[in-house]
Amino acid sequence: MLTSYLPLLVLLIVAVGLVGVFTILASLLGPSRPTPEKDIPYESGLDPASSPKIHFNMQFYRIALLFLVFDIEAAFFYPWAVLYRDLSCKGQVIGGACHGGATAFGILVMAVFLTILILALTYVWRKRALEWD
Amino acid sequence: MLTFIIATAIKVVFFVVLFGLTLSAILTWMERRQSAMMQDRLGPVRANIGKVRLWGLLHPLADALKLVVKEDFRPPHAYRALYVLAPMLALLPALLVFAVIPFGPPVCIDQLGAALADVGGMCKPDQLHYLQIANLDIGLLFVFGIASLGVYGAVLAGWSSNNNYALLGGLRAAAQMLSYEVTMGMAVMGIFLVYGSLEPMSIVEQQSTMLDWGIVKQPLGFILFFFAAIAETKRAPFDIPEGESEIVGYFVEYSGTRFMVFYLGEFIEIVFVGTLITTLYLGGWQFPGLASDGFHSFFGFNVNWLMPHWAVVALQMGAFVTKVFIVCFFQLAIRWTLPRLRYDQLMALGWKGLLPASIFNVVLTAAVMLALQSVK
Repeated sequence: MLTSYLPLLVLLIVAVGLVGVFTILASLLGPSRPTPEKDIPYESGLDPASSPKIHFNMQFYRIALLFLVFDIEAAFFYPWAVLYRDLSCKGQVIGGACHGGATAFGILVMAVFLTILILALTYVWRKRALEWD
Repeated sequence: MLTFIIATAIKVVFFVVLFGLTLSAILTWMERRQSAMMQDRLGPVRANIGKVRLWGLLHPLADALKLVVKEDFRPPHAYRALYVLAPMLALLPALLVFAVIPFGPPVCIDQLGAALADVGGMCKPDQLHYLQIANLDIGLLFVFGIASLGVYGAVLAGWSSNNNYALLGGLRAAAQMLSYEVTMGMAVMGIFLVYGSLEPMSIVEQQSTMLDWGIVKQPLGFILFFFAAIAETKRAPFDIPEGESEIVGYFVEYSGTRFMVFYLGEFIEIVFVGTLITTLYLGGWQFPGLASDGFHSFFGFNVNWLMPHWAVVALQMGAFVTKVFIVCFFQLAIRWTLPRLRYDQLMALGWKGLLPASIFNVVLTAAVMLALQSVK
């Protein structure tokens, strides 16, 4: 079972090797001639006016939280989506075709979960957490 | 075991290094030629080795050479370790996601070395070869898991540069990539519903006729997924994080080879989006009308052109590469077609437009599938 993941290890080694070669090339081939002007942080040619250690906009944090909630909820959908053909079939699913009648079980199960998800999105929307100002 | 590892290594070299890296190098040239043509100028055509010019196709080589021998500038105000790590983290996920993309049908190679079709699962397991680096049941879950790691490259580049512009650019890039990832995960759900699998090879095998293609069964899902994928790769019209000349982005303090790694990562992502959209929505390696022993119908005409299986496989791989190329071409052409979105418009489109639309697409798909089931 785990052998099907072995190719990933091979790919990882090749990819890390490739990325490593680029990084080593950078320090091997490129010359380094620092000057005081070059060492100043770039700010369109002016001397930096402030330190980048700032309190960044709250909205970014809010987006990160929303992402966490909605992406995890999307992940809960995946097994349901894969099994949907079986869940909405009374009999057995053979080769993708249902033998036996249809049932609304699959869609109803998800309707409950989806309602909560949509309610959450509406709440977030109404609370103006998606606005950017 | 050893032959298995060697076979995998060969596949990695062919699919990722030869196909992925070469196509992305060609795309850097194609993007500039395309923009030049749209603006009525010539674009890069002058790079040459002696008399050989190849319409400018040598420019990617010249660019790489130039960037590699440029000064290796590491700003003293940056956090060194993370500054070096960030471009590596940006490129690595873009290479890893190629693992599950099927480049061709499963091939059965018998003791005599002849290629046969795997008809009805008759092939012995040790003779069955996938033209896919890893045949994972969770294939697409792996893709989305790894692809979401790409955000670290942008965030760490912005933060470790210790530069006002870079930090803001990094934050904007992170928020954009996170927002559109939700849409992407939701939009692709329609495909899982229709094909009942997370495994790309099985999804492609179910798209045997053009009417079974994902784009036919999931037209809304295709559009939503395409938009979200372009936003994920930070391409125009969603290119606020890196808008090259006007907006200072998260890799402002990077130059030379380290900049090249970011740039390469972006173009490999374009190629990857091309392969993913081809696999999910455009029938992957399926050649319209081509069965495993040749053509029985050719665009509506009844024919009986039989051909050896290796020729079928070659045609199918050719079909895959052609489709990927067309999707990549389209991604590049969008750049000079649509104006860039403002940042608040971008976030509004993601959360208030595409996300509700993709949830609607899931409900619609499920309802239609149930209705079709009941009619039968």
